[in-house]
Amino acid sequence: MFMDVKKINKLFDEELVVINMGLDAFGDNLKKEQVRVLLMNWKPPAGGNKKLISLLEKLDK
Amino acid sequence: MRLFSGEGKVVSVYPKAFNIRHQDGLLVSLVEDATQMSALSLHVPSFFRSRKAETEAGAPAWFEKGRLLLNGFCIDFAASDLWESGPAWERVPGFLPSRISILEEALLLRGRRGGLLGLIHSSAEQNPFVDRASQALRRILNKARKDSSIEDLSQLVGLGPGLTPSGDDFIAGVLLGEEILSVLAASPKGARSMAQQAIIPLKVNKRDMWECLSRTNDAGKTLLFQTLQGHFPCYLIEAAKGVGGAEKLEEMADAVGRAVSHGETSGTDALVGFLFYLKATANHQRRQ
Amino acid sequence: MKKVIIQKNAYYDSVFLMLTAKAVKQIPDVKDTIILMGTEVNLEILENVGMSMPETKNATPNDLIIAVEGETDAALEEAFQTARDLLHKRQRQVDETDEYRPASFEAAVRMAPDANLITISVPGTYAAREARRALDHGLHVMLFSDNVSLEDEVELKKRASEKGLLMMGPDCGTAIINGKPLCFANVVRQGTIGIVAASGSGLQEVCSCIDSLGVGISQAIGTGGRDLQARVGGRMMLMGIEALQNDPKTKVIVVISKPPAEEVARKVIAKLKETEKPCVVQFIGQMPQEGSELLWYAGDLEEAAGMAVALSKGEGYPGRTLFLSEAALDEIVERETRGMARNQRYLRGLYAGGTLADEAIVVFERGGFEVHSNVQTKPERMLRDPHVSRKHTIVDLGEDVFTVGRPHPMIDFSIREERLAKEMEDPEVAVILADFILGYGSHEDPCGAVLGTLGQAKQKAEDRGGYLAIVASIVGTEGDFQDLEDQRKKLESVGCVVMRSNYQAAMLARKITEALESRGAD
Repeated sequence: MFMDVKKINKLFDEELVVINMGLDAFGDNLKKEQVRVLLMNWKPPAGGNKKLISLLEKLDK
Repeated sequence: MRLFSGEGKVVSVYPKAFNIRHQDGLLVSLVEDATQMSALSLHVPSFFRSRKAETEAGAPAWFEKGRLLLNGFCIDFAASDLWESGPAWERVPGFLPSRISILEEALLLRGRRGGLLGLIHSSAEQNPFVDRASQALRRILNKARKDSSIEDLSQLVGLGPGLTPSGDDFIAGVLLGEEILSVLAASPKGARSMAQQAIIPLKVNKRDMWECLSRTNDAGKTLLFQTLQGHFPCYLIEAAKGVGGAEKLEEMADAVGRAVSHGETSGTDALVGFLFYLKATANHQRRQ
Repeated sequence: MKKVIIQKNAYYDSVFLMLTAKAVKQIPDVKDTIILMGTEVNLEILENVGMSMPETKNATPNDLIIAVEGETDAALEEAFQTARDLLHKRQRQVDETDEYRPASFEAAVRMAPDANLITISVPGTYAAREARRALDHGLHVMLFSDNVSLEDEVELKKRASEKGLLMMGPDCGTAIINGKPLCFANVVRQGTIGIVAASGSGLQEVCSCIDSLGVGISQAIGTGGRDLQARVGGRMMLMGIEALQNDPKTKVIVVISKPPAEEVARKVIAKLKETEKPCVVQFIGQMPQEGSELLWYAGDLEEAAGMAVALSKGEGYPGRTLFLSEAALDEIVERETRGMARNQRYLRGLYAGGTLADEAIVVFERGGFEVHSNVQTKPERMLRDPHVSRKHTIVDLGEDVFTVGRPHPMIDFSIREERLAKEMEDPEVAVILADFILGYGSHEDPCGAVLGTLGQAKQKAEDRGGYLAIVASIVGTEGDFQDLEDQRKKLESVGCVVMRSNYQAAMLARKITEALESRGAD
């Protein structure tokens, strides 16, 4: 299996810039370690309405 | 509302305004008060009072048949104060050739560098955008002499610095000039005044610009989309009124000064475009 | 010399862009800078002034281009650093002044266009979709969420491997990338040992042991618990190994997992043999095999750490060094069993860390004991009711049956306390075995939180005329915020015996149980 892991090795050499989607605690912990992190106030898309979510999925494509 | 039906998403939220990006790439702003209005805005103070607090970037919106659905709220464009209507131009007395030169002087005094001010200000810092625009405008003017219309203005679409590229602001100014003169010509008093000065507005060909909207970014696209249809940002309307009503240099400089404080070079670039249009028309008349 | 950076989908107002340009121009040895949006015309102009670069070829109108011409590399670096700092500060200012936190992925990437990693811990139903979008956007993903289907996991990992991105998870609780803690993680010294693990608490245990031996780690990549199942095929494990093989800072590679599917195990071992770096393998529960000079098989997590440390120093493995001698252990056993009542004989292991529970089960089974559990593989040893212990029992309290609708026991100790309350009523219980996990994500005072109940349990046993032994291990480092020493002291204050690794704690508990058995036989 051919694996191109260049981007992973690139990550190892970069500064982490993180988006935290979900539990705030995980983002706060990164802040304590001086990591640049953007905390989200994630809400289920389209208010959790399954029909609208599938509409949005089509939008994504 | 001429926006096609489609999906949208809230892209940014500010205390008095927020922007929704239509799937075609246009930015519609919902504003709490009229002074915040941009190229394409809905003035909906009541919405702000009740719903704004719950609206967040990423929230989906739907445009359909003259209505905007957002957060369970339905905004009817017909009923809301949409920045759609053209300005009332009756107060604008017209543009005597002499007024044009005072406008130019005021721009030289108050205009901001960095964009296309160099088109009229030879000692302003020249930059590659001015060079490019200057070449394009020379060609445009040569053609205008023959065709009596302004063609290929689309060469400036997407040109230059700024979140809204300078070229787009310039074009907005040109279109503003055409709009003002057309409206003036439509009123008896204005028509008389123009006839006295033998001013016939140069027509600006818009077709090529419509075709070039994708050559610029969302902000520029929105500005062009609106101004091509005769809808201008609040600050430009105010500028046109101020400039049209100014008799003396100080009054003109004040009006210009207010306009150029908009954005970084947006106001300056738009007024340079406006001036270009007026001068082109005046010179054209002189030649006929 | 010229250089260019591009920010995709940038929405900075013009005033700010101008200020940024001014700031950059002021840097000494910067000749010129142009900041503009990537429209067609602007790209042509960049070309005309000789500032066009390969990166700009694919720019779109909504991308921000910052082109700088400078006399020296240092000037260029400083220019870009300045620009980046200003742009990020601006983002944050907008965040703070508007108190704005994005609710959707699109909004988030607009606000953080240079993000390179996302941590996702939203409910499982939505997690796969968000992970997919993140990968499509080019982000490495840490997927903490569980309740993601196996099909989704397979698809996500395929996508990730096609794009060459990390897809840590689903159900990946721990990782340490570039020395930074993702989700549950300890603060570990930086060093040369790289780890890829399909086990959260296993990863934490190995890291803690390595750190306590004075050595450090380069990267700790989590793959999620199912990675080494046949359908997933070890995809992320293999990618992790490849990345560590290429990483100049990694000198030793450690692989941790529950026993994988056979063909996956073969692939992993083959991959490890391909790397030229020394490797340590720990498939929990699998009997260590004969290794080779560069590939060592460990018998347990602590040993894996010890071997990795030895390899990183270029030394032979000296055997366990963290711990007490046989004699010292025997002394403890004697002391703990002295006061026990005749009918006390059973072990109850109450674990928050799943892999640590597995390891404890292995230790006991290797000693010939039959252990019941909620995570047993042998059906006859599965607890009929996971809430009720039977004879020797080790439970993984982090398992779904216990955590539905409640926080994980690493954070919320009520699950453990409730179980402890039950066990303390059983006069046949002789020894309690438990893990305490420190670090980010964990409770702020794991030992203190259950101290009262531990003390109560000891008291109850005494009241019955017996003695309850409580053996514990603390997974943590001196860098963790909970204060390792203090945590140890707290446990010892109620009479717990604190061992330096889970393996040692399980071994001690086993020795106590063995001593009781042989006493019973007299």
